[in-house]
Amino acid sequence: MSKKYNLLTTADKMLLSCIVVGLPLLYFSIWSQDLQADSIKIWSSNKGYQTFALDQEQEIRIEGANGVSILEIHDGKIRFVDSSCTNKLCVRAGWISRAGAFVACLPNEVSMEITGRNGYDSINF
Amino acid sequence: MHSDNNDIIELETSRNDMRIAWLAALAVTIHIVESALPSPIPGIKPGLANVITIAVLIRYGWATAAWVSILRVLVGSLLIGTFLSPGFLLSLGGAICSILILKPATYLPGKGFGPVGYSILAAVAHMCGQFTIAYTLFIPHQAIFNLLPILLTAAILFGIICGTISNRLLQACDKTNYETLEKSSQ
Repeated sequence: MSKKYNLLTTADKMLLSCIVVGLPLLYFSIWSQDLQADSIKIWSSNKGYQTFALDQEQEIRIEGANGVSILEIHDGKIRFVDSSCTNKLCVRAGWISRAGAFVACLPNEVSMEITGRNGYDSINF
Repeated sequence: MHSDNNDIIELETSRNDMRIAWLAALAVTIHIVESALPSPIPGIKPGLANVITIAVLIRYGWATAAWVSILRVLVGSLLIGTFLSPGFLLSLGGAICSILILKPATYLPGKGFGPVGYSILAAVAHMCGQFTIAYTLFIPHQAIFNLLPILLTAAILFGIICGTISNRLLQACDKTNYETLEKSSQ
């Protein structure tokens, strides 16, 4: 039994062309979702979730598991200024401003996430 | 499958059972060797054991391929020691998804898909299955959707590579005298 296996059949070529078209579309549709960053959700093991507006300049003190974490909101961005942890990874993460961005201080059990909402008000898909 | 003999209960193994066992063993070996390789990004693996699944699908049909694929995940995880771990769930979910997508793909009229097409379909289905499980069970956070295009690109690339290897394997199998190969394996 010797059947010839061509590398690509017609169906393969059609599938490949679907991919060539579809993959860039997927990148585009997922990565260009324009969520407007509008608020900040802070979680701590003590107090659970707290929400703050991102357009109010302020310094927030959060009681964590080991001590106080200080967060700063400035110019639509937020960062950990200080936290009672040893390696300060959270502080070194620096400013975050995009919707979906997330920084956590694991030792102090404090995390923050920028939540966004669609630029549209009532369009769902 | 019992024999008619009442005194001794023995399992009758058909030719196809033997074949499944052989091919699954081959796939498990590749699976284990591959698990020793470090992965640059979690979740991205070449999935070379799929080469066997695809070759089996084309030569012996869907049912045998399904057996080989599921056995590969079960036995592979038992040998590596990841049985029932999160990684195992991802692996099993992916394998089941890719097997399920291959079933309708075999009904395509005309010449149908070749190894590369099957392999891409399987790889993409595998990734989608894993992604769904990861999202629902482990990381229910919107942000992982940002990874989806990258993961799918990797799946497609490795799918093409595995399909090409499958193609070479099938050609090589044709060249060897297949009958003697089968006889010696019994």
